[in-house]
Order: sequence, then structure tokens, then C-alpha cells
Amino acid sequence: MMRLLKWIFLLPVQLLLVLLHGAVEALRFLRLAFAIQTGNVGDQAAPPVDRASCSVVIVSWNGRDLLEESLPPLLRALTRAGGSHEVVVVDNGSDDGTVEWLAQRYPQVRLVALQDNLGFGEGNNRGVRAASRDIVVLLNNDMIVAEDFLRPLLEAFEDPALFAVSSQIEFPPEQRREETGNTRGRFRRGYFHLEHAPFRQAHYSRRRLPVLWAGGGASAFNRSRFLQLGGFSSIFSPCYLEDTDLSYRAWRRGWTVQVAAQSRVLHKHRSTSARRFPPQQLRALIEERKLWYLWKNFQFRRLLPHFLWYPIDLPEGFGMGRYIWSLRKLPAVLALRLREPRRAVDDATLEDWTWHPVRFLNHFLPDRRPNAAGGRLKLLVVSAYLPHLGTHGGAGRVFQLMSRAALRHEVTLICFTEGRDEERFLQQARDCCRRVLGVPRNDCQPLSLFPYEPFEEFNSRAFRNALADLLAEEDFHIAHFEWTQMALYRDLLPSGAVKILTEIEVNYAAHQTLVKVERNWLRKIRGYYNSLQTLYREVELCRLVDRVVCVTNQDRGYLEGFVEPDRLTVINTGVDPDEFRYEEQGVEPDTIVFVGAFRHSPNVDAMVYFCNDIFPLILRERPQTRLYIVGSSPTREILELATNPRITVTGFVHDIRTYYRIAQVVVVPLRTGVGIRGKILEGWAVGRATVATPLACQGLRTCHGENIVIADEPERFAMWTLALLGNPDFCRRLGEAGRQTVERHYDWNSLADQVCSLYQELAQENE
Amino acid sequence: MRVLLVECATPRPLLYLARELRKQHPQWRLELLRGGSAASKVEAAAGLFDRCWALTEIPADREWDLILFPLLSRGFVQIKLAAWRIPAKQRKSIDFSGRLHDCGLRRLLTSVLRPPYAPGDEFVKGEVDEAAGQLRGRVLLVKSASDETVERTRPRWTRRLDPQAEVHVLEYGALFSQWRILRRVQFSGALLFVDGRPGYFRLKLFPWLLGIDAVIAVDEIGATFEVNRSSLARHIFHRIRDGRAPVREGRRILFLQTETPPYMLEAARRIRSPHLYPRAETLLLCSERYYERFSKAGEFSRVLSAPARPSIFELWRIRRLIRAFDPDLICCVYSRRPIFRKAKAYFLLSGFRKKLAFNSALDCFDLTIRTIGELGRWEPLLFESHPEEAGCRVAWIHSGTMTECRRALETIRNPEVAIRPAFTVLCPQELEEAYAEMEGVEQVLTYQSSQGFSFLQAARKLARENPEVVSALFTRRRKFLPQKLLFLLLPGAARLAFNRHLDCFILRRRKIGKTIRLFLESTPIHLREVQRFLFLETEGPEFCRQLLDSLHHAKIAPKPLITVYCNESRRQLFESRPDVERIVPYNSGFSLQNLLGLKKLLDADVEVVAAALTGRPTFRFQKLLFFLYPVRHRLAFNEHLHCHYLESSSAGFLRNLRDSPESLPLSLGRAILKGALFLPRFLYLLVWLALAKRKRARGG
Repeated sequence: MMRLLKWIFLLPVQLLLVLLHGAVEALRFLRLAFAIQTGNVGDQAAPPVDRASCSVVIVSWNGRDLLEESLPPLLRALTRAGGSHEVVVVDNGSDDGTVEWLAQRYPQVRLVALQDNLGFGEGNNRGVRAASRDIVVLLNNDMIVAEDFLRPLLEAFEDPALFAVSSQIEFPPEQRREETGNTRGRFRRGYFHLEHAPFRQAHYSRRRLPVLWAGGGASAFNRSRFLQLGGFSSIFSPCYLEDTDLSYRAWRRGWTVQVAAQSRVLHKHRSTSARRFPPQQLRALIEERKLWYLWKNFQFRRLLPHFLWYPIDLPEGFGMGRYIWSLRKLPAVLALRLREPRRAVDDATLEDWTWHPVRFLNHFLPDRRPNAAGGRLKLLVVSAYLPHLGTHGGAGRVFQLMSRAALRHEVTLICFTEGRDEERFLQQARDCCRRVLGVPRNDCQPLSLFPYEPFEEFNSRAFRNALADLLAEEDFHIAHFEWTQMALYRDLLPSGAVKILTEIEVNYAAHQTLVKVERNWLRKIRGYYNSLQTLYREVELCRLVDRVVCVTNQDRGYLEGFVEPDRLTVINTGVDPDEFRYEEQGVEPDTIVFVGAFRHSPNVDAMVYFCNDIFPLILRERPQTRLYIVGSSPTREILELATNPRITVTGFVHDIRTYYRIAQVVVVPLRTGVGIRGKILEGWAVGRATVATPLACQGLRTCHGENIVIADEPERFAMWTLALLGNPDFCRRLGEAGRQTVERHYDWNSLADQVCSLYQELAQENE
Repeated sequence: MRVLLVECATPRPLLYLARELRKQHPQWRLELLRGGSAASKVEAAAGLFDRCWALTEIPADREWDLILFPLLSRGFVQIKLAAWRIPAKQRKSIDFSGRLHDCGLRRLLTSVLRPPYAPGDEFVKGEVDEAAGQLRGRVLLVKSASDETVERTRPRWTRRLDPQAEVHVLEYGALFSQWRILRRVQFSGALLFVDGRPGYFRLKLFPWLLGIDAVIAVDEIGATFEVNRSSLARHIFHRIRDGRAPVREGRRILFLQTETPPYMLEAARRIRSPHLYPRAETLLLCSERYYERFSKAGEFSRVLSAPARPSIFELWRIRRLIRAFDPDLICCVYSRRPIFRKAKAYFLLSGFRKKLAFNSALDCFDLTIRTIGELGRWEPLLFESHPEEAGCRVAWIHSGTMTECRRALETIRNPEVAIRPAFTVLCPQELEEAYAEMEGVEQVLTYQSSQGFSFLQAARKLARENPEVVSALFTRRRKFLPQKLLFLLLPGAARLAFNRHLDCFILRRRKIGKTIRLFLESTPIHLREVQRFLFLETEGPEFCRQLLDSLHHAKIAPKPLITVYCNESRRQLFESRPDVERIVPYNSGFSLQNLLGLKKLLDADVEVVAAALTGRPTFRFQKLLFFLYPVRHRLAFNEHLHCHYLESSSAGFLRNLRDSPESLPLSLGRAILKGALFLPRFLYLLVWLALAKRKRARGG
């Protein structure tokens, strides 16, 4: 209630602010338009920077005791760094004898003695003007520098776009670490929240990453650009936020502000300001400066929500009175806003860069590539499911190919995980990959407003953040997206990396098979819409990668015409002939086996169809026949099938080969879905006779009557199954032929060779 | 010498100065430039000024020898500037002593904000002691207040009447005919009484109906003011802000019994205090039951009793007796107890002009719209030292086991809770002896457990006892429901409730939410002591298995007995567990069997409900059931199997469980938009597909 009253009370003020900012924005637009017409646009070319030496500027007010502590380590560090560095101390009208003490004790230090305390910003401005080197390091008088703090700062200026680079700020062990130097901001509910974030691994591996602002207490600046910007703005006098404002102005001109994690300083925080202001006043001082910073710099459209929300969310210790009092500098703020040039970087991008440095890297270093040590490529596998053996075919295929590729290249895996039960499979991936990151899949975010988004459940902020962090840390030659939906994250990859997408299943074609078997016309329309929506998204994603890998020629045919044919490659799914060994013995007569994970809906449909329409026909002729339904996650419909005493639903089994061995006939009565059927390959590998529908055989080297029996109608399917059950010799013949097919065409080793060749080929093309 | 006095001061000092000028300069021809006050009109009419001008009446060619600006009071901008533009030989200002000062334009303008002269002693004396503005000529005295008020204030309001004034008195009665007579009479002014009491409304309108300009109002203490827009607004503002001045004029006070004797007797004593009505004659209308007691007490001048259900003749008799008493005001005690409701209603609806009320702290105040809030401002003081009676009457409703009830009564006997309580117990017949032996139990009302009517009769008897405190036990067991309901309905100044841990709470209406929260959360249960859990299946089988394992954690419940509500197809997953005591299965879809299962579930005797809330949009019904199931303790497990005890303070946890970071309105909006966009999107996709196929055909 109080908040609402505050909002109502401040509404006229907010409206006034909107009007004034709108007017200034219009004037600014006219000014810039006029400047374009007269050709008065553009930045002055940056003069080359001498990185051999620098000027260190320290502003001090009654801080003789602090200088006594901070100057000796600084002078030692400068001596160690070599070069002709200089130290400039700006005395802000101290009355504690700092000037005399410095002149007597440190004659090598240049002293700029001011009569009055001009504040932190103006003091630094005077110091920078007095400095003689191209690079100026601004230090607080309470900063204790590490011995090697200077080298990383000076090295950073090899980047021509760099405006400033900040050091990593540490605190005494007994104090809370209020600052780190890794600064960033987030615009939320109309307010720009500034913060110091902890350093991540990426900061050390990349040496420098972008920050929102370089603190005026421990940062190196390009002096000419500093002066070009006019130094710290006087409206923030006496202290706080002037460095944030300066860095922002640099960013909007297209110059960068970064942090060098290796450069370290120790801060005795607020030693000077705490002497002058009580804590409450200090907080209010910072808050009003934050407002001026926002009003002065931010885009008008971002300020609108700020004006709407801010009176409701007035920070603690900053009441309405202080807020209205902060309007005193509004004219000066607006005048400065009017003078600002066209922005090179908008606010949202800047915020994004500081939160996700990978986007910054992609912008400034789009072609970065890692070094290929010994011809070993760095591969990143981005998978929708945890690649592992034993649960479902797709994960098994990815694991088989990935583990073989890992023998020749460095593979890093990042994938979604589903619950704790998958953790036991993580070890399989860890054994073969250099690094494995699993992200729980539970925070899906909407993709769009349109009904039915097929890949929405894989659009996860947590995964995006994890991948962004990974890519900020290291570069990869190739990013391989397993499953279509993972291409949602291709925008995080730099343009220099090759992007491959494996279409384990062409999703829209699978939808169309569902539409075909659907009888309710309303659901048919809905299904058709879903298939179209899926096609649209799938094509959209396929077009954004360099190569699309299909698992069958049939799948390739589905995508041809939507995707350029030369970007489509077919690599089949295989089977491990050593694991699934050919065994003639162990067959139990009149035993039928179906294998499939029941999270995959075509398997559910297939078994319901088989048990309702085909199996009764078989039982009529051979009542002693048994059916084993093997596979993880059986649904309710599947479990209900077990009410028939001749049917056994096993659920998840650790070794499916046991059931293949006892099977006289393996059935694959699929009516929906696309892609390759691993169960047929496994049946072949063990040497068992297989009966399958034509849809199940798509993309496989099948020959009716030679290595498989293909039957479509229920009666024909039952007839052929009965024929096989009654003729063990025929079964054996089919099994032998199937085994030969597998050995010849579907060995994982040969398929892994194809994948690795593809990697090499694309990497060479990219070079 | 023609002098024009500008009305740039309030009427009283203006007229005071005019009289001073008349005394000091009797040779001057004094004319007034009038602003708008009624008093100046009166004075002009009474001959204080030789002529009275309005601004519009002044001819352009008229010139005065001297224009006087009296006092240069703050404001009066228009008249000051207008007067400055009138041609004159000299312009001067006058201070409070009547001395003349030069007056320039600058001084005139600065006086708009800052008056230059301070009032002197003579003026103050003259203004206070000598009536400044008096009504002269023919004056109408409107007696719009009681005779007593008129008489009491006479010394003050007579000062506003000129001794030679011809006073016509207008009293209440036959107003229309009086108006017909008086409308033909020309009055120079009117005196009106506004004592802040309701009534005399039509009488108060008379001065304006008769077109009298100069009206002076007299309030209940005799203070007078000229009636104009601003003064009337000021008067109303002060009335609202300060109320009416306490005027102790009642002689005969009618008391209604709205409380028990101690309160009424104390109220009668207090009303005779020196600052209230020390010589008042009091009549008490009380219940027959208390007649003797009040009669013996001797605090009331007369006591009149009324039966609980009086006949029409009884009512007539009572009315006649009250009219014979002719009370000036009516009084009662409001202690916020729901007793003597009829008497309280009569008190509020009676047409007495003045009503006095005592609240539960026995503070006395005039009952007006402004002060009516005072009735509920005080909490009952039943547990503090009572004015007269030593103990308080507690109605105890048996609503738990005998052991629990015995302990609860011990708690009430604690002096910090109640001083020497006298219990009236309502219990089943078989417990009569047990209660009768207890200390402090004065009366035991019994009922037969199997007969509802018997219970109602006993409850009625208990209600007639008018207990001050009603107390019962709330153990969260589904027993003694009528008794608990009776606890809430029974009249009583305070309700003491005991929770299952026998913590005692006073249920207060104004803080009921806080009390209930305390009541429910005061002593969080130690889950280790709890055995019976209800587990709702809200996740996959493997997760559920792990969750049930984690329930056995030493910090949660080492030996739980679990009732599982799960899908029939997953029944076997839970059946094998030794800790699962019972399984209530359901099938997919809506069926009678499911409803019966739900009924079974609701009847299950469980103390804690547990479920996994991982944020996945599945098992929504079960999740809803988790929140709605009537049980006190809820345990929620997140995706990492971290256990959270849900209470109001941990509501933030639920926010984190949501599967989408969007707010609910945003999610709803998105869902609606999705529905609306279905057809346009479908059409777009069809067109897109047609174009893509065409392109594909060309490319092929």
C-alpha cells in the first residue's frame, strides 16, 4: 500500500522525467542527423600506445597513513616491471602533511598539490592531465598492489579497441569481498543493478574478458581516449559512479573495457570515503549517482520501465525526499545526455556481453580457433540426451560414435540429464571424453507464441548458461549437435567453428506417420499442423549448421529440397558385432521377442498393434507361443498387455542379449516413426529371424526372404511369423544372412571412420 | 474631511478601529469601502460609518482627503490594490492603537505576505471583554438548542446584542406559521445556537429563509462567530476534529443493563465522578435476574427490571415508567461481549439526543459518529484485576481426552492466565464425576453422547450462564466437531483455545489471522515422532523410490509408515517396500473407482503428506492434492531430493518450483495468444510449405 502511495505521489515527477528525456532524445536525434548531413560523424583515430611504460596516478585526501602503506609495494612493483614508469600523487587539499611528507620521503614521486578537495573524479582528471605516458593506471590510495600487477595491464593494450583494463581486486581475508573487478549489470524491473561477480575459470583461460566498467581505483586507461572523453564527469563529484559512467561512455563509442584476472590488488575498502560520510549518507550518495548514471546514459526505451517501476522499488535508505532531491542535477544530466554521440553498442548487448562473455568473444573474435595439437581436433558434442549404452538406441548410437571419435580427437560432451538414475551412465561418457558436463533438464522456456513448439522443452536457460561458460573457457574446431533441437544453441558458437547436426530422426516425417494412422479428423488436423510446425522449425535449424547428418537415405530424402543437398550426409546407425555375437544355440521354440524403449511412442504403438491385431492370429494356430516385450519405461498400455498369460513384459533389463538369444523370431511391427531401427540390426547380429513392417525396414539393406521377412497387413505378418515359427531351418537361414549384412555394412568401426572423415574434411574446409 | 476606511482587516479589529477613529477624530466624515463581511454591513447600517461603499459603487471622479488602510492585515490583495487606485490626497495606514502611518505602495504590497502591526493590549482587552460586534436594531434570537444551553451561555451571547436591540425569540414549534408571520418583519441580524447536537435543523435554517444577512452563531460554550462561508467551514472542521465540548448538563440518566453487575455498578460509580455528572439521578433498566443485586448495591437511584421476553403490556409499562422519569440522556456499557444484544440495539436506535457509552475499560464518552470507533478500541480486561468481582467465569467445553482436558484446566488456573477462575464445564454425562472433583469447577453441565438434542440443551444452558471466557481444546483430530463449533458460537468476552501441545492462545477477532498462524505454527512438529505419512506419486518410479528412501533419513522420519497414492500400473513398485503400509491406487481418467479411492485417501489417518515438486508439468492433480489434503504437515522434495517443510514462511520455495520463470498472468496470456494464433499460423505454414515445395520442385 505504501508503495502504491509512493508511486501515486511520484507520478507527476516521473511524467516530467519522461517528458524531459523524450524532449532531449528528440533534440539529440536532430543533432545527430544534422551531424550526419554535415559529415561531422566519426571517431578520431586512436594514436598508437606505448606499452613499455605507464603513469600511475593516485589521488589522496588526508591519506598519508594509507600512502605510507601503499606506496612501497607500488614502487617495488614498478621497479620489477621495468621501463620508465612514473608515479603521480594528486593531493586533494590534505591537511595531514601529506605534501611535505611525500616531498621528503619520496622525491621521485611527482606531486600535484591542490588547494581544495576537488573530489575523486576531478582529482584523477588533474592527475591524468599531468601524466606524461600513454597508459595511465589509476589507483586508490588504499590499494596494495601485487608485485606483478602491472604486466597483465600493459599487455592488454595490444588490443587496439581497448579503452581500459581493470585489475582483480582482493580484500583482506577477514573482510567480505565487496569488489572483485569483474563488474556487470542487469536491468531488471526498471533498475540497473550493478554488481561485482566472482571470477570464473574463463577469466583465467582467456586472460581478459569484458566488464561493464573499470573501477577508478585499480585500472589502466588509454590516456588519450580518457582525455578525449573528458575524463570523469563532474556531476558525480565528490565520488562514486564516475568510473562506471566513463566506462559506459567508452563502450558506447565502441571501445572495450576488460578485466585482467592475473593482475591483482588488495583493497582496504572505502577507507577514505568512510572518513568523510556516515554509512547512511554514503548509501544515499551512491543511489542518487546511480540514478544520474541511468538518466544520463541509458537508451530512452529502457528508461521508460525505469520511470514506471522505480518509485515502487525505492531502495532502502533512499526515500522519496532523497529521490526528489536527486533531481537537482537533472538539468546537468540532460545537458550531458544531449551531447553524447551515436552509440556503437546498445544497452542490451552490453549487458549481454558482461554476463555472457562468449557473446563478446563471438563479436570481436568470431574466427577464433584452437590449436590442433598433433592433428587432434577439439570436438564439442552437444547432446539432448546422455550418450550411453543400454537404454535407448539414439543415446547408444551417439555413444558408440563419440567413444570411437574420442580415440582420435579430444571430445568434450555437454548434454541434458534426466534425474539421478542417469548419473550411473555418466561414467561411461567420462571414460572416453576429456570433459563431460551434464545439465538437468527442468527449466524449459517458451520459444514463441505459436501453438506447439516441438523443441521448446529443450530450450533451457541453465543449459545455455552452461554452454556459454564452456565456450568462454575454451574454443573448439567442431561442434556436433546430436538431435535436431540442440541446434537451438548454435548461436553461442563462434562463426569460426564448424557446426554439424545429426538428425537422429527427421521429426516432421515422424509426425506425418502419426497423422497417417490417426482416425479422429480433429486430431488429424492438429497432427498435420504439428508436423508443419515441426518441419518449419527443423528446416530453420538445419539451415543454420554447416552439415546435416542423416541416419538413412530415406531421411535424407525428407530433407532434400528444404536443405541444400551438398550439406546433407548419410551415416547409418550400426551395431557392435562383437557385443552381439552370433549364437545358434539357446533358441526357445515358439518364442517371439520385441525389443524397444517405450519412451519412444512408435514402439508403444507397435506393440499395442501387434498384441491386438497380430498375436491373437498367431495364438490361434500355435497356442503355445510366448511373446517377450523387452524395454525400459513400459507405459500403462504396455503393462496392461501382460494380462495375457502368453505375454511377458520385462521392463528394463540389464542385458537384452539374453532375450535375443532365446528368441526364435524377432518382430518389428512399427507403423509410425522414421529413422533407423537398431532392433533389426541387433536381431541380425545375434542371428535371429526377423519379421518387420516395410516402414521399419526403411533405410536398411533388406531383402525380403533373404535376410528378413517384410509384412505389412496383420494377416500377412501373422502368416509369416507362423511360417518362421514352424520352420527352424528357414529361421537359421535368415539369421545367417542377417549376420552377414551386419558385418558387411553396419559395423560401428566403419561408421566411426565415416564420422571422423567428415570431421577432418570439414575442419580442412574451415581452415 | 472625507476619510475612506478600506476594509482590509477582519471585521472585529476593523470595527474596533472605526470606533477608535470616531473617538479620536469626531469631525471626520468616515466612510467605509466594504469588502464582503456581514458585520461591516451591520455596522454600516447601525450608523458607525457615514456611508458604506462597495467597490463597484465608487464614482470615477470622486476624490477623498484621506484613504486609511487599517492594520494592513495579511491578504486582502484585491481590495488593497483597488483602494490604491482611488484618487486621494493622502494614504495612510493605522495600527492597533489608532496611530496613523504613511503608507506607500511597497508597504501595501509587502503587507500581503507580512502584516506590519501586532495587536496591542488595549485591543485584546477591548475585543475580549467588550463585545466588539453587536447586533443592533431588530434581532431574531433563534433558540436552536436546549433551554439549558441557552440559559447557561446567556452571559456570553448577550454581549453580542446591543442593549437597545429589539429581540424577537423564535422557539421550536409551529414553524410554518411562525415563518409566515416573521417573513414580513425586517431583521437586521440573527443569533443562532449551534451546540453540536442533532436536532433543530429546520429552526437553524430560519435566518436564511428570512433573508437575514448578519447571523451570529453561538456554540455550546457560548463562543460566538459571524456566520459566513469561511467561518462556517472552520466551525465544521473543528467540530469534526475536536467534537463537541463536554457539557455536563444531564440530570436524569437512564442506564441500560448491557453488562454483568460489576461493570454496571462500576459505570454507575464513575458517572457520578466530579467531572461527569456528580448530581445525576440514575435509572437502571436491568434483567429480572439481577434486579436484587442492583437494588442492594444502591449505586442507582432507581432500578427497573424487565423480563427476558416481555409481553406487550410489560413493554408498555416500562415505556410509561421511563417517560415518567423523563431522562436527559441514556447510557450503557459496551465491553464487546456478545451479550445483552437487544439492550445494546435499543441503545443505538433510541432517539435520545445524547448518548453516553462506556467501553470495556470503562472509559466514558459521548457516542457520536466520530467517537463510535472508541467502542471497539479497547481489548477486554478480563484477565486483569476486576473492579469488584474476584474471579472470572470460564466455560470449559470438553473436546479432548480427559488427560488433555485436565492439563488444560490446570493451565487456565495459572494466575498469569486467569485469576481464580470459576469453571462451568460442558461434558458428556459419563465424565461428570471426573470434572466435579477438579479444583475450581463450580458447575458441570452434561449431555448424553448419543443424543444431539441433549447436547443442544446443555449448550443452551451454558450460553445462559454468560461466561466471560470460553475455552476448548483443538487437537486436529476429527472429533468433537459440535463442541468446537459451540466454542466459536458461544458468547464470551474472550476465547481461550488450546492446541494439541496444550499451548494456550487467546483468539482475538482483530488479530485472528495472526493468532491462527501462531496456533498452527507455534510448535512445529518433530517429524521424528511422526509415523504415518501419505506419499503422493508426482514423479517417475525411480525418483519416487529414492524419495521414499530419503524419508528414512534420521532427520526426517526414521520409521515411517507410508500410505501411497499411485497409479494402478505402478502399484507393484511400491508393494514390495516394507515401509509401505497401504496403497490407494487410481486409474487414468475419471471413474467412480477413482472417486472412491480419493474418499479412502481422505479417510486415511496420516499426519504428514509428502510429495516431490520438481517443477515438471506432470501429475498436476496429485500436486494440487498435495496442497489441499487436510493435514497439517507437508513435506516437499525438490529435484535434488532436498526436503522442505512447507509453511507460510517457505512459500518462496514454491515459486522456485514452477516449471516456467514466467508469472501466472504471463503464462495465461501466452496460452490464450497461442490459441488465437493457431489458425493464422496454420495458414502461414501452408503457404510456406507450398512455396518451399515449389522451390524444391524447381531446384530438383
